Amino acid sequence: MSSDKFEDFVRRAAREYHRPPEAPREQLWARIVAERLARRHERQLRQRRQVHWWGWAAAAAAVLAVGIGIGRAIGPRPAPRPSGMQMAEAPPGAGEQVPAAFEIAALDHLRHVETFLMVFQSAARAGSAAPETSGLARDLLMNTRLLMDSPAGRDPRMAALLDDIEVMLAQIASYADRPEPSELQLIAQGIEQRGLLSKLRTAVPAEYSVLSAQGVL
Amino acid sequence: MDERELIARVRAGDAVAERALYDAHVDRIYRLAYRLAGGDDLAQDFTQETFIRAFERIAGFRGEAAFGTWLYAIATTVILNGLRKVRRFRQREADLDDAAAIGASSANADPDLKERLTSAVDDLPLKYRTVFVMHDVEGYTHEEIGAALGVPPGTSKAQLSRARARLREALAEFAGEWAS
Repeated sequence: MSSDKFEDFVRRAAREYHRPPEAPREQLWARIVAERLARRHERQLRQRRQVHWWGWAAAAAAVLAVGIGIGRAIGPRPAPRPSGMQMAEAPPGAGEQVPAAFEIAALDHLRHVETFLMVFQSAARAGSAAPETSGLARDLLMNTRLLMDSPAGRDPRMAALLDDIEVMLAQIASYADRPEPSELQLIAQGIEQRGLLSKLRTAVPAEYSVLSAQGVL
Repeated sequence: MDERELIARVRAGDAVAERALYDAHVDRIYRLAYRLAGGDDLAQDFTQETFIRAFERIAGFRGEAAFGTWLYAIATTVILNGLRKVRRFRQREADLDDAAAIGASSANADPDLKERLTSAVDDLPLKYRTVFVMHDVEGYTHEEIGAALGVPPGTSKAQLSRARARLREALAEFAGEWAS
């Protein structure tokens, strides 16, 4: 049998292959219009949420920095953080009272960091981070370092957590210099490997989040 | 109004022009989606997604190729990605089913030529099936297929040839019908 004959045969027979009905034009158009509207609406909502969050977070970070700065200027200098050996002998910071203002400032900061990291991870999963990410990470990094040197940093658990946060924020802040998707993924993996979000959630009591959200704090 | 003007108006946000552009191409896109998907639900989903993406990206259409070619490239991407997802999903479902039942259903396929051809085309690897359907069923040229799939026309020809070879093998018992 010749190849031509086979091709003719297949071509004739294949006309019936999944023979489509007439395109449901109106129905399809209605679906397209509705879906585009829904996506546009969703995009606008997302943008509004993002803009709102970035603005709020930047303002909060600035206020926190000023607060901690004032606290450090008028308060006693914190004792240097103990080494690992000292930690083994006696829990550092044990028995030391962290002033309430610093405790509140620290919790507030941790809450901001948690929200920032959640947004960052979600952006990393999508493959890109917002242009504001680097600047905001620097602000939060500065506050983290201020807190590390403040009475809040005397608490060993808080100090360890702030150390972890410092490393991650420094990486995110420098991401802007090398904005590559692979770098983004590595940072996001680092956050997961350190269990940073769960540590933050454990450190910030739920009731604090509620009170803070209600404006009580 | 020619297509260039329509596209310019769509870029300027003219909804009437969008509808006109849709009307000019929807039949061919839907036909291709239906032929490859084998059903109306998926065909509608793929057609819808094709036009949504096209309207979203039309600002980036530089007019170096015909609008239809650009649109078919979007359509084939949407359809092939969609079919791969569907296949993965169905595979997972099939894994959960009784393997004996699956074997029995394919072994008892109707020997009728039409159904056998459908089954043979369905069994082709996706890239061969796409080229076969576009060329032999829907009448696209190898140049159009190459542009839509992002491969040289020669690759399209080679894949069609392999697809036909597989079909010839699968339909060997009907040799008398096309030889006569």
